[in-house]
Amino acid sequence: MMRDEMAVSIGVLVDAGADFCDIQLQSIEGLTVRSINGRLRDLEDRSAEGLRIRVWKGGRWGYASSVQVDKASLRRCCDEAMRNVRGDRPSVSMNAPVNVGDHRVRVGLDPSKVPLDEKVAAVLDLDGAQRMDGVLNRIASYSEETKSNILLNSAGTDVSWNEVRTRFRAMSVAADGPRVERYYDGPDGCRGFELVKDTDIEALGRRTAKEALAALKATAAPSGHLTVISDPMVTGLLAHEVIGHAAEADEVVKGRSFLSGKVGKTVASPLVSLADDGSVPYAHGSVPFDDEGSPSGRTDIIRDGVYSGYINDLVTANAMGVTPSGNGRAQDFGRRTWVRMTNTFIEPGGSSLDEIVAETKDGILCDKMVNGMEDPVGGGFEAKVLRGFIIKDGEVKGQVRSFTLTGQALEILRTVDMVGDRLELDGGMCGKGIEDWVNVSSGGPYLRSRIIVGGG
Amino acid sequence: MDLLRLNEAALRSLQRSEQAEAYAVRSRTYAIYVDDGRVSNIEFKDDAGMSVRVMDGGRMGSAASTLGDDTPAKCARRAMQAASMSPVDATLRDFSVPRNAKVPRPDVLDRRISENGPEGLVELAEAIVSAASPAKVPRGLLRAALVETAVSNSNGVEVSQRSTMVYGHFTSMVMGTSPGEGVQSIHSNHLDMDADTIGSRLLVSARAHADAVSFRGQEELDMILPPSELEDMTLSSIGSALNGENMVLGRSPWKGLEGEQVTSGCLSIVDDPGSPSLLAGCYDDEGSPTEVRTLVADGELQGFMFDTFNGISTGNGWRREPNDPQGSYRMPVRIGPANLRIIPGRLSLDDMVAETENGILVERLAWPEVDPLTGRFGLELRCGHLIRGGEVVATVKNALLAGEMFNAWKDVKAVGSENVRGARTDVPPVSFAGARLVGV
Repeated sequence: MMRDEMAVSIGVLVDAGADFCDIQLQSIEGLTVRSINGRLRDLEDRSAEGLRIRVWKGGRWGYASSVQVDKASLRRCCDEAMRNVRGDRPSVSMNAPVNVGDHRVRVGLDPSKVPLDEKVAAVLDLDGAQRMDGVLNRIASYSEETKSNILLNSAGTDVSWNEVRTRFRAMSVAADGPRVERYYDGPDGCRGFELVKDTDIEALGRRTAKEALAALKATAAPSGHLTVISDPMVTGLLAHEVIGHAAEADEVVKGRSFLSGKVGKTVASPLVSLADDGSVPYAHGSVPFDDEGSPSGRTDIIRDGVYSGYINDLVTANAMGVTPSGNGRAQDFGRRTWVRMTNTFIEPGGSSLDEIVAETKDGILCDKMVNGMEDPVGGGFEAKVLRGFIIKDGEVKGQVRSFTLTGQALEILRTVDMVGDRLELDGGMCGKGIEDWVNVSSGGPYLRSRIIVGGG
Repeated sequence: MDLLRLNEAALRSLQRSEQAEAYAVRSRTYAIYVDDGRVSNIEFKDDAGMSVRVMDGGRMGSAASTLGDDTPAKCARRAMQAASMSPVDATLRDFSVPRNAKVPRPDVLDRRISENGPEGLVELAEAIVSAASPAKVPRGLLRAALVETAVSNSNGVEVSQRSTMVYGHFTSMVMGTSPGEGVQSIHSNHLDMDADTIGSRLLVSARAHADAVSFRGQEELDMILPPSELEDMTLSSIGSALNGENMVLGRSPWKGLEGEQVTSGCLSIVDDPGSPSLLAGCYDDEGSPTEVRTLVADGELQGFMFDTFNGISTGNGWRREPNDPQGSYRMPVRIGPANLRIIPGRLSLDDMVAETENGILVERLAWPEVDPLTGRFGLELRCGHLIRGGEVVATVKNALLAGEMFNAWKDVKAVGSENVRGARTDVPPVSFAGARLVGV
């Protein structure tokens, strides 16, 4: 019913003068269960439904979105989007590849079919498994989200798809007098409740608690320009913050990216290959289609140290004369759709972690990220690391507490001299600037390079 | 759409439960995006939703949804279902009880926003871009919204509020081999900002970034943090330490220190929801009255902030994010300040620089956030001015500014005289001892 109305509205918008338009109908079902110290803190059942209309004309998007999903609201949004679209510069003509189809993801255990009490029990079990002397706060959480989308556009695209994501996480906060430290762990991905079923809850909880307690004995990290071995999670953060954001083609088109004009040029050690791929099975950032109806796919950003390409949405792909890469994404129906990453990672190489450590005379081994920040203009970055280990004469020595990495992206990538042999991805949320959060993952292998390290 | 009536409908469906609460919110937002110096997107968002919380037999559950015809009944049913699956919690506290407002209704409604389309915003965005010239504005966002909220509960609370908000975030750059990027943010309830002032600040900031050179070596020095960078560092350190939930859970470094010195004696900190700011109002998002509270007086801790889940509410339970009203019905209640103000001192920024022997006047950090548990920070310096003997001698970048913020608050050297309003703070520049700058 609504699909038919959407198709009619597309015709109305084109008749009214739209160069291009699309309409997305989205529903979101979510659940969060979270406990602290055995007490249920959040048990929240969430749902949302809304529609979003975009009209392209005169080099500008006119948007309108509403949570009222009916024929009258659709008409009002069409009027509003047309009112907003008056443009003032030459328009890129929007050639959008036509995609048609219905893509339903298959997960092992559909979260909506699993009783709520089973989810609550899993969270409380994970909370209880962290019980250990010295652990001040035991935090356990389970979240699930299913997004269902229908998207039609004036080029003829008519697609529908869904996305299912779950996350199961433990965090222990340990204290010794005034000193407080933490550790977290847990799986995530485009999977169903099997993500929890496949987890050894007791082992996850105990490991998290033990590592939080171990952090209490960690010393301050050294400062300076050091040899750094990043773990897969921190390697992913580097891939995402150092290169990924600057590879978003909207930044390139407007000259805001330090990677503008770099295609075909050597920008990194030949050991470095970096890609964005929204089609990695089960990865947290995977999407069948982006929020413009383009199928997700793989973009080689750096291949053997040579810059290869940018990730695109419809506008930037048309401006650059390339095919959209499936990276036009939005937080939800009420937010801006623009170029965003999916799963961004550095490809594995040929060294084992043992070999990398053995070959390192003085350095620091990173373990787990906290967060990071991009700098597409200046080519810098900031990556906060949860903890690390000192490497001395090829051996892992004492643990150090949280610290931060920074430096110039291209200088760091040129110093990469050893690349691990195993790729791992870690899921999270990515903001563009300071808002517009989308699901992504990032990762890579263990990686050795030279980076500025400072206390955190 | 009467939000209180929708709340009533939800509560009617929950008459058999011991306690129930309904929160409804509607926002009407225009957002203007600037890309490469031109308005690229004009967006209208009509958002409305409801969240229902239920307590029954020592169990609590909640459900939220966008607003449709059956939303009150659907939320009520799903919240009851969630509560029925929750374990019994003997420590659950009551939802808010009816209380009179403690602050006068602040001036937070601008009819130019509530009654007009996007034209005024487009003009303002274009005027800012023009005023920043010859710097270009690669990215800009100007968002203005009318926000209506209503909270009702089975204890008799029934409050509704309306406000308007404007949030802006613009970047600027001058071209060159290593341009860097300046930033200016705007937070207001009114469309009262001066485009020329914002634009000229963008130009100055862009030029400062372009002039910056990589910092080499490492040294201990004083740091002067401007309001733009101090806001998040204040919220992630002092805001977290004052959070009643963190105190209850034992992880606030200020637990058990009421009446004791927790910061330098030159600091006094007040939460002031009665002055115009993005969360200003007479009630929080649980329907508890907000109040002007001194939290730190001359460095001495006076008290913590609470919602109803963690203690006797001080009117600090929020679902809304100040910069973006969309989707707040989907957010859980969390403790936070409405408008955390550091009482200004007497020194101008120039005086603070003149009194600094060896320091860094920060212009911009990548993400000015402190680890709330440990107070540690290691932040990428995007642009800062080195001070030697009371004068700025160089502008630097590509370095880490590191330290421990709870200690830094105890070692404040000067508090500036000019406050700037942020999303949920109102702070002046502050000078601290004991930071470390690490370069290549």
